[in-house]
Amino acid sequence: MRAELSKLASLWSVWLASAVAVLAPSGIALLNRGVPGPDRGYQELAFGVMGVIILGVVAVSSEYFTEGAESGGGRQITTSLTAVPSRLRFLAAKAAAVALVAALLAVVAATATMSFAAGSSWEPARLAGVVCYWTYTALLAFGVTVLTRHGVVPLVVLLVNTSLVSVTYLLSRFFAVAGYFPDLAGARMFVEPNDTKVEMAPIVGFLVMSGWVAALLAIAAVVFTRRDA
Amino acid sequence: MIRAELSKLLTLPATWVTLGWTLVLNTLLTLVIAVGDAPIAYSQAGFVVFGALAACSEYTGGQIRTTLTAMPRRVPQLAAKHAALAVVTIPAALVVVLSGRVITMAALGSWAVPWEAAEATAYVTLVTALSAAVGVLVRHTLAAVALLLGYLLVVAPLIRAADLATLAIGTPVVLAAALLAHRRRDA
Repeated sequence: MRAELSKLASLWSVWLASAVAVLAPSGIALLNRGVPGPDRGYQELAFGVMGVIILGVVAVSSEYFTEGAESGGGRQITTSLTAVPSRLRFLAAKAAAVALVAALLAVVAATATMSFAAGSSWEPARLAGVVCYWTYTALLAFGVTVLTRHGVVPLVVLLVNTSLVSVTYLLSRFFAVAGYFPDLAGARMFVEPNDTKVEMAPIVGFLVMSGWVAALLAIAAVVFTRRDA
Repeated sequence: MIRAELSKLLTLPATWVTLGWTLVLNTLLTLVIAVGDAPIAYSQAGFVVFGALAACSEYTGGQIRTTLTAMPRRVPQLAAKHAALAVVTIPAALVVVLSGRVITMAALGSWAVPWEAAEATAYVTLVTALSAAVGVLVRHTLAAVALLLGYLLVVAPLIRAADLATLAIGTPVVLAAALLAHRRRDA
């Protein structure tokens, strides 16, 4: 776990991810401070997940990145697995490190954003929802990247989906089932749905997203323990 | 020089994979949401990846050293790279934009050739050039893609800067910065 944290802290992409995670929502909140609207602050925090998506993806893809001829064409993953031969322990430690950093970033970003957002009150339950949503999203990005072993595809798919009008949101307007996608369900933990077809209480959203994360991490663990590095 | 850059670009498997998937996803999105050029808002991501890959593939491994030994003058080299990129991007963008258009027009039954198709093509081409410039600046595919997608999909729409005019002014500025950085720093 300590080793995983140190690997994370030494990647400059992780610092970029942290900067995005904290600056994007608070910056947008600062720009929008004059504009009244529902859920000011919480809406901005929903876009800040970009940062933790980058974090989750980079944490895994950096292990598989070929460092070039200078370092013997090797990949970090072979070294990591030599040091920690138990695959499950390795994956668990890495997931724990990602979750910890994501939760920390969420707390910092939420504090910054809420202090800029005028007219929104601090509601502990909803802020806990934000932290939970960020951590889960980082773990989803992490799980998908373990499966693909390459960063670009999960990064693009997940980032495109955090855009202003997300793909899953468009789908959910045509198919009610799409409301159960992890990002839409999870967002129920802290923002009111505008016009989606599925009614869901925050706690149900939490359970649905937890289900997605648990399933994805389980698949990632099975695949990771069974295949060649 | 442009020939050499073009041959490097066309022999990358990633070029064909990225552009192919962009076309497939654009078609799927058009079929599902079917609202004119709206899918371009998402499928521009494919072109972001393409531009970033074209610039950053030089830096995974030591290709850049070979390139700069062959073409020691850096500004013409980077200019040639962007020219080659444009040669590939413009037809690819046209195909992607028109594929969405044709499906929409077939669905609606009206066959006017719209000016917006040309505008969307120009937009996507500028996005690719911008991605390549950012790729040269940061020299890391993932970081370049993350920065650009964050800007184009979230920040730009939020500050109402997601239009052709902003891009037409911004791209040359970033490109000039990339040229300057490329000229002055170590490979």
